[in-house]
Amino acid sequence: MFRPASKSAGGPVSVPGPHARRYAAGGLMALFGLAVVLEARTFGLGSLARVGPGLFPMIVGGALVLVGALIALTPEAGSEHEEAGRPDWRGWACIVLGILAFVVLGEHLGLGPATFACVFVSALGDRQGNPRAALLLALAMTAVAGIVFTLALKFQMPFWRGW
Amino acid sequence: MDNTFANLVHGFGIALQPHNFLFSLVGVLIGNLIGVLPGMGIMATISILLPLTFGMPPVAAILMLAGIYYGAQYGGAICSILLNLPCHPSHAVTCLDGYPMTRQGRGGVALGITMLAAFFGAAFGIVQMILFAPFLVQIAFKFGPAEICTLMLLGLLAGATLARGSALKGVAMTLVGIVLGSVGSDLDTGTSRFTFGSMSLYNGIDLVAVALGFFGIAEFLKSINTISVGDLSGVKVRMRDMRPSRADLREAAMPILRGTLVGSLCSLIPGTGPTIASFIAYAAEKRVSRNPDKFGRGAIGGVASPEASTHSSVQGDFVPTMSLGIPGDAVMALILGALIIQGITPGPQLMTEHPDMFWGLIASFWIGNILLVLLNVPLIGVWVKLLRIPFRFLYPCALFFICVGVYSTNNEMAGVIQTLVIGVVGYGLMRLGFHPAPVLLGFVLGPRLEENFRRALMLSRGDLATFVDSPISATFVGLAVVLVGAQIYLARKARVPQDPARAVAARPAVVLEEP
Repeated sequence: MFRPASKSAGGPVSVPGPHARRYAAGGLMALFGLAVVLEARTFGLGSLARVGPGLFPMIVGGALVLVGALIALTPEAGSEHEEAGRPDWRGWACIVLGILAFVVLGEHLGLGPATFACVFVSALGDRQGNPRAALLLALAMTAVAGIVFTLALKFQMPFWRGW
Repeated sequence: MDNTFANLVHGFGIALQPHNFLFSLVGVLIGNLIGVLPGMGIMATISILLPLTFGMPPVAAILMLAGIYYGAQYGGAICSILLNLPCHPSHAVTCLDGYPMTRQGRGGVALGITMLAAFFGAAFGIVQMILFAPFLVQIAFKFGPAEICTLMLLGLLAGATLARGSALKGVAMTLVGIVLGSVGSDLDTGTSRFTFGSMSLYNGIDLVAVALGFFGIAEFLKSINTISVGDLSGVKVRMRDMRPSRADLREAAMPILRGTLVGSLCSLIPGTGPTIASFIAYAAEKRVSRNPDKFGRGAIGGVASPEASTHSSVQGDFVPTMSLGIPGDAVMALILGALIIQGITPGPQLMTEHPDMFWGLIASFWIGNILLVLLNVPLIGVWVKLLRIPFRFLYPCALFFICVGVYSTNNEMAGVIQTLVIGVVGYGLMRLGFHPAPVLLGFVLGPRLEENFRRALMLSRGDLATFVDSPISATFVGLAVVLVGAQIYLARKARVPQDPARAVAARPAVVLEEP
């Protein structure tokens, strides 16, 4: 969302070499484009008068290869060094695990446990919070899920699937 | 002209129907709320609520989603002025003079001026839409597939290169969006594309999954542990503090007018939405001001002009979207996607085929903006209290709403997993310096671009010259070439080694993200 300017004015934080980022960014796009081209060839290209399902994706993939190569080859302007703050593994892990918990528990136990786990786990990712606050927040959201989604909106997923 | 008036009256009839009015109210309320809450995005909110609108009548759905967009602009200003937090990029420049005014004890006046500027800017934007959209529609009716195709190409190119960040990376993200949009069965032949045998991919990737991946999950991965609670100690704003003095009003009048004009111009160029409008308006205001030294120390013009431009640009944003079917930024792409999901084909025929939608929306803009002024002026104390809700309570709840919203689009978990994957990959791309907004433009416009591309070639029997044959499409292609040429020229110029200190100083004081 935002960071104070003082932090970013120091330049890129976690970029190993001056060119590593643009090589990675451009290379990734070019590879993705190449994969798109290869896959699109199998759809059938058709003719120009009767364009098949493969031609348009192939053009797009080809353009992606070109743009990726250009990204890798052109030096970044000074104003582009802004993103990439310090890695925050705890925060990232909690967010991803929270959503995975929703998927797994929602599939097997129901909306209630899924909501609780999703909110609780992801709330643990904040370094200023504590487990107690996370627990209260998760309980409150579970109640909201039960009242709003299960009772009022007749949500498809049952609140509790039973053991 | 008489016709316009009759249409407008008809629109008010639609917008004032109880349930349409109710959903407008809900939309602007939610918009205002998330505008005030630090760290909550407009895109995430609209996409979370999108599945909820599937069962609603189209008019009510669009009225509500649009209300969130312009409602959030009112809330966002409060956050910028009182907390010095650019909660929403389109209000980031307002911090520069709004916050100094707060520290001088004039936060209320800044808010009062903001409301005035907001309403004036919005009103101008709406009038612009009333007068300009029918005119555009008349031209657009002459468009065949070749013209639509080249116009979309121009729109996508402008959206990719004029927005923030590197132009090349913007183009790359647009192309990624087009690829994502082509996943699923081909409309003409039924061939499955990029599905890799997965049934859930056969119907295509959901708009909700793409939007919430890039603007929900990726955004939270980025902002977790970076948003601190703002310091509100000593800030007290009551309704009577908001009344500007006569001198304040005189100081604000011209900046409001100039800002409004800047905003309405920016809204008509794809890719330059409210954020860029507000930056240009601020810079312009500083230049024409008789005492530019005051800027950054609480100049009223520094609040009034960008705010007016933001609001006129937000309303004007709807012009190309509703009349041509070409969205200028990610929010508009999302609203266009919502229209498509509702079974409405966007384009010039929308105004004649769905006059209820078009004129009802315009009427709801008037109603919504009046509601917003009524909500914000007497209830300012409530919104200020909401500013204290810390981000660490907000994002877990938002993640839950994301999961529930995606699940409810198809009632299956596969969508949630897709969203998670898109979010993680999207955040990886953001760390590599890619901005997410063009993805959504490509995703929404891609399928229609392909459709018109194929249709145009079929009509011309495979002759590629069809794209430059008519003067209209030749103009679009010409503009696209000029755009690319200008970007190359600017990029070469920027490569001249420059003093790094100056490059830093030239940037805005805050680092922010597109909506």
